[in-house]
Amino acid sequence: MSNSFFQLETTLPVNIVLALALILLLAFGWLEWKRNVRFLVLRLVAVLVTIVSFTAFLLRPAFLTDSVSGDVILLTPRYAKSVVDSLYRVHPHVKIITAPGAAPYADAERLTNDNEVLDLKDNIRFVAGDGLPEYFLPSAAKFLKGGLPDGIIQLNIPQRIVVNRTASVTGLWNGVAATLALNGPGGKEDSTRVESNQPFALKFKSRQAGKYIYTISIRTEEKSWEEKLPVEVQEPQPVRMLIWQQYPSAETRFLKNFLVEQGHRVVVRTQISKTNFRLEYGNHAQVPVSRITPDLLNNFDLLVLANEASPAANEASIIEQAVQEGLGVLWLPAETEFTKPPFGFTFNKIEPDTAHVTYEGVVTVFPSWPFAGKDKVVPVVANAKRALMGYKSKGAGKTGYSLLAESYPLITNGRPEAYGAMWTRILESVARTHVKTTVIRLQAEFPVYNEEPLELKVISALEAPMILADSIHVALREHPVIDQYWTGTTWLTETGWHQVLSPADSVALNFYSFDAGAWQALRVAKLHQLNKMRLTGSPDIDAGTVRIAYRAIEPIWFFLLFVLAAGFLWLAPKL
Amino acid sequence: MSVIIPYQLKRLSIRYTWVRSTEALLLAIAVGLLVWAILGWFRISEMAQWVATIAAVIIVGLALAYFRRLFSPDASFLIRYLNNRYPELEESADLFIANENELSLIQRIQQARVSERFSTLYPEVKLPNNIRVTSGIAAVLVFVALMLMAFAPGADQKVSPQLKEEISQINQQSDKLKLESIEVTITPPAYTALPSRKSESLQLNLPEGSNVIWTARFNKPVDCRLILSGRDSVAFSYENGIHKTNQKLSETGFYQLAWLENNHWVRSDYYKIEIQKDQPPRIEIKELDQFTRLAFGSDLKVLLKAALQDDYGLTQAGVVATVSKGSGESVKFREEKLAFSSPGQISGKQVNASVTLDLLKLGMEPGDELYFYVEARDNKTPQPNYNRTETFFIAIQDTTKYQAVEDEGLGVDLMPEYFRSQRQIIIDTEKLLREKKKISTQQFKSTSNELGYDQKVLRLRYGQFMGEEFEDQIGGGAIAIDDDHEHETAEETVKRFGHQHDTENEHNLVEQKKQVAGNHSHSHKEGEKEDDPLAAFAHQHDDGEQATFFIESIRAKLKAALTVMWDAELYLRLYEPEKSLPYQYTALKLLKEISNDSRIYVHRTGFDPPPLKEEKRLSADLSEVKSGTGLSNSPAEKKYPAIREAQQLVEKLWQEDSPLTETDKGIFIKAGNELAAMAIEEPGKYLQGLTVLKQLTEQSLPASERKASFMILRKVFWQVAPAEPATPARQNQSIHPLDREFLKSINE
Repeated sequence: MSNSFFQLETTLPVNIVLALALILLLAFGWLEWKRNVRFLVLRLVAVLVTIVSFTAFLLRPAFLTDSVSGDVILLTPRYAKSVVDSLYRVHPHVKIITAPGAAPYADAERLTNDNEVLDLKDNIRFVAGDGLPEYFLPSAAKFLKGGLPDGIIQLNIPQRIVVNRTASVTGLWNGVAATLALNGPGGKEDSTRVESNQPFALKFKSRQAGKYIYTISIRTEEKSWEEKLPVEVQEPQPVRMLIWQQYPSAETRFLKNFLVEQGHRVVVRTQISKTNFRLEYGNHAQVPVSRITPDLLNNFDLLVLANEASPAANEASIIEQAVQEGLGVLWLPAETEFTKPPFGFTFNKIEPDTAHVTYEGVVTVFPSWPFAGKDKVVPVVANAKRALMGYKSKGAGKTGYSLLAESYPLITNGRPEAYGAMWTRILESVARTHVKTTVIRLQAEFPVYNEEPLELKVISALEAPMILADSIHVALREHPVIDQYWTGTTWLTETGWHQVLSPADSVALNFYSFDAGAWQALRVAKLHQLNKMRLTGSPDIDAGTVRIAYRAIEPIWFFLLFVLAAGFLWLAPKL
Repeated sequence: MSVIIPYQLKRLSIRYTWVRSTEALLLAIAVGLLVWAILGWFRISEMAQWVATIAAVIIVGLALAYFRRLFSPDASFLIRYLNNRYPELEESADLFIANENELSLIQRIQQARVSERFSTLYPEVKLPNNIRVTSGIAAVLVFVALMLMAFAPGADQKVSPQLKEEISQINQQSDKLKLESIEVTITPPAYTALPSRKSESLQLNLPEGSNVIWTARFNKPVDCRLILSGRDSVAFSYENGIHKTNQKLSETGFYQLAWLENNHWVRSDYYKIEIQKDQPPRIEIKELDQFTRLAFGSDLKVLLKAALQDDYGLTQAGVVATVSKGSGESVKFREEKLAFSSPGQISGKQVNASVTLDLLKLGMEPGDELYFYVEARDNKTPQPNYNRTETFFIAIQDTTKYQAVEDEGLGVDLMPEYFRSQRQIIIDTEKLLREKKKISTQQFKSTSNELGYDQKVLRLRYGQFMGEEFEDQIGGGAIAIDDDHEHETAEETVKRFGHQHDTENEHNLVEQKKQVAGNHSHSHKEGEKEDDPLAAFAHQHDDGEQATFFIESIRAKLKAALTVMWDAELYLRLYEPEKSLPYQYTALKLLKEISNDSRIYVHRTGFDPPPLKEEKRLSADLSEVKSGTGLSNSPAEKKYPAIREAQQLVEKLWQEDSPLTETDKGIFIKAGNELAAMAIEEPGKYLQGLTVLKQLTEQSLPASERKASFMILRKVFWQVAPAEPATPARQNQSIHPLDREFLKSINE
């Protein structure tokens, strides 16, 4: 039926039903007429009601409703009123609804619970303000960005923070100039003055491993507040190293002592004569080390070739094979070796034989070999002229070199922290990277909030990985195409540290979940980003035209009428 | 009458009341202050003191107001005063206040006249007052009051607010038992001369060795102890309702009070004991270099000034001087203790002492050295603190000193012993000059000549080192030569003996000497001419220029010395020793320098390498070279494991409100033990943490302070970990195997 205030929403042939109803009405009416009982008029009316309600029950009549359009503009917190006003002027038939937390808008309907957004999801044509989280996003809508609150709108926390190393938290500040201070368990670690809309960096160094809550206290001219910064400081796991040298030197000796003191597993082989060696084991079982073999190299993460220990041809091929498989090799050359460097390195002779390196503002002069690498390497310690320590990848492993002839005076001069920082960088960059059977990651970036679905991504070589989130089993679904790739969803209710654990191989991921109020500016900035990316649809609203909608009358009412009328017909003779 | 006059009179009256009231108030307040001060001398409660003072102020104020009639202002007083004070009013001021209607005509005329005058007079009217006198009295009263307050007997015996706070904290720990008061009396050791005092807090800061008496008053007798640094416990004695104990404290640490309640021990917070160590005396020597070298001729007295300082007092100080004589193996030492000459007796905290070191009295001679240092002791008992300065050196230059060197490097004994040194010649020359007037001319000339001879011998001896080998000339007929030429003119003598710079033979010293020593010929110039051609052809082994005993610079110096000796000898022979002296000094200086130079050379040769076994060299025998193995392990455990564990627990707890479990308490107790060991060393840094730990484990902490105390613990635990350098860590990969294979293949 076309534009009328009334229509029948039935699949039955309407004419036949009406005809049948008429016949029934006449038949039952005549029967009642003939019965010699009281209340004739009432009984006739009852018959009429019975037949009409039954017919209506079958035909489902529907009426045009008041609402002329189903399109919705959803106002989320911090929407721009002027933008909404203009939009409303263009689309006066569109319904305006404000989400919880948003400022009231004239005549707008208010939602009291976030979940009500789900009911409207398909009608939302515009989202104004902060935007909606991923699980509420409508399929086709346009996003009208609102204002950003003052605060940190971007924050980068290092993925891995290791004890005794300087870590740096960087970010972007939005709002008037402010003073940011990073406070650790031991007090203030760092502070900085940040002008409006400028990036900032805060540094800290943790002496103890564990899970800590640092705080970033923010002070502007008007107000001051604090944000929690959860930090997990990791204890370094020992590295297994084999130092292979033709003769001893102070440089390797200091390096070995430094590493052994830190708990690393180090084996040093020094050639004394053609058949005699001196073997030193630091935190390592006494294993036979006479020749380089694939098995030997498999047991180490890093091979250090020092003091003219360039390998012979057959050994070189074994080493190269091991590097392909993931071994790291660090070459500490002697000057004579530059004529024929191993591992395909090539060098140019250059003039200076000292190198100036700056660490924490102090310039140190090192004696160095007067050569500069020709290959492209990843520099680890470098100055303007050349990479003094660098490495290149080869297969799964890496080969690196150091052009510094002597670095141990740093220790004797009482600066072991500079020595440690320098060697840590090169050794860690080059050493073997271990493959874990399971990797757990969060879909969401920092910060994670309570009372929101939390998606987990799991890469696992296990047949059927099991994941526990705070000791609750998480159901995992494997990707239909990509092997070993699983996803699952969990739900956090409590603020604080949480752990996602794969008990089979004891791989764990620790993270912190926040209350909804924490990190507001950052949250809003992320919502903006998400909504801008996802809500790109151009909503089809025909300005001025009325969208027709009929609402069917609930059939229960016809049923009740039918029962009442029939009941009267049954009761009338008994009265 | 103008209508303004009554108004002006009213103003004057009000002003007068104000002035009088101010006087009264000033006096009342001053009296009040005095009352407060006087009451301060009696032990009454503060409340009573306040009440009495306020009462005094009010009573005095009211009394004064009453006597000054401030309550019933007398209008006629002002009129009387105006009439008396201002004659221009013609005793008619009372007309101002009279009812105008009742006045006679004359009175009215007079009133109009006087009103006019009063209007001009009004701004200048001065009212009677006693402001100055009153202020003076008030000032005196205030001064007296302040004096009374300052010297009140109980001024320094009030219970300090900190101590009150601590007592109330202790009382929170038990229900029935109440600590009513506690006093800690610190009596520093007698030698410090510090008075004994009552501590304002249970946290003690006291001089080393102080005797400390704790006097506690509980509401009932109780078994009460003092636990020192978590180890020793000391019981309190009980007498007349007072618990008392005393202890002599000499070491930094901490303590707790503990008492028995319901059969278990309740312990108080930790209180620190900080000891101010008795510092050893400080000594500073002023205006003297650590190394002083004096020339023998100079004034051999050295004034030694020392500034001595000690925190409690000095008792003893002096100079310990050691004289060293001789050199090499025959060196002898003699030690002497010298007292300071001023002041005679060392005492007091700060002393500027001085003494003059007379080197001659100490028996020093050229070449001797004096080592000394200043030492001081303070008045600490039983064992005084001792301190001394570094050693200072004073040396008298030994102008004649040389070193007889035995090293192979030099190979020459520089100095035969049987002739006079240059220094001796100088001394004899000086002596000769002093005695010139006493002795005869003959004797003078003879001595001078002898000295000339000695100078010659010395020159010849040094000449040896230049390759001038004429030892045979030393002895023998030298004196005869002198006799031969006794009657020569001075000029001839100069020609004969002189070192003639302007002759063609200027540098051929050897030749010239030869003639002088050997021929004694008057016609030496001819001889010279005869010898010259021979010399040209001769093979001269003894050419001084080619002598090789010394390096170049020394040879040049030696040659210069010989040249100067020539001149010295010349003037001695001419009986003019005073002219000879400057040459002698120069010679001495040069010889000294030569001696020093050669010493440096000698000291350079030292190392004697062990001999090599020839038969072993280059034999490639490695039979004794063995493979070796070294083992080194770092300690497996990290330091302070319990504190590390507790730190994580605190991190968890400070954000939650969950109560402590028994396991948590166990962890805190272990951490407390580790922390206690550190707190003994540094109570200021860790004691607060220890107190909080104790409160936590005993659950005596109010909920409101829970979070604050966790924050304290976080900080204290954090400080425990030592700073260590960064160390490499094993890297773990967190990428999909497909990605890994991809990376591997692009790197190949």
